[in-house]
Amino acid sequence: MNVKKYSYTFWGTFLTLLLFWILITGRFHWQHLLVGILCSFGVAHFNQDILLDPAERPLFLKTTIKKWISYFYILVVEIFKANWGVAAIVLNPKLDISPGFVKFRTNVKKPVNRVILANSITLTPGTLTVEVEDDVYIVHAITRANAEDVSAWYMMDRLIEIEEMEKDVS
Amino acid sequence: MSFIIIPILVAGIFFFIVGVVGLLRLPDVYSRMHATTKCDTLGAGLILFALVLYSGFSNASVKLMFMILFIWLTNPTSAHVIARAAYRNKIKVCEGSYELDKTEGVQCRD
Repeated sequence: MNVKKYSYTFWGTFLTLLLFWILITGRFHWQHLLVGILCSFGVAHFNQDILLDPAERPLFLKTTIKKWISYFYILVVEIFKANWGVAAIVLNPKLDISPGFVKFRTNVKKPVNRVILANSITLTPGTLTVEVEDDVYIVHAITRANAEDVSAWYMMDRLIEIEEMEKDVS
Repeated sequence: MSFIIIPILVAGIFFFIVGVVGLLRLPDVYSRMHATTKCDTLGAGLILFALVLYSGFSNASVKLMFMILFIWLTNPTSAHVIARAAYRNKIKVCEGSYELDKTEGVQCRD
């Protein structure tokens, strides 16, 4: 039997899963721990191919952590606005919509940041990411104004700013 | 405490109702996705947050916080998958839809 050597990423995933297990069960009895260890090991083992490599992970450096916190804070505010906007459109008897697609390019480079951007677009006012192909985004907007705004969205500039800071450090 | 919890709970239910109304009223797949995904995010989020406040600082509230986190992570992803499937299968869009192409305007630095 050949023993495969596990990477640091594997053990990191294993420990994170185990910690999560302990947090959820809230018990330290050895039977609970044993089942937790077996489950975390199994999940980490069978998903080895799709674990997040260091290059794919979002970087949270000391310099950028503040930016990330403010990013997610603004995102939550935007989510509230999004819901309010959609509620106003839906409950308006006239149903004032002009749906359509927008296609635009982005300067965000790292794949994980592109995923964050796509999800942010989906979560915020009247826009929904339909397709991401390399740096081209296809977004569906519910009103014309949303469609015009999304390609130069200020959240995108924030992500680019964070990437610039990461480049300076590495 | 209940005078804070009840308004939050009611707000969550309100957003769920808006989501359902939107699902029935809006014309095509994509616009319906807007109503359902957005209102699910805040509807479920607010209801779970009200429950967090209700259970106070305990093991249950930690679990509920994780539920909010995972809903907010998976909701846009699954919305994206459904929209993308619709787009690839060329599902009909409602009348008056347009297509803006802004790929020329922004230069790619690659």
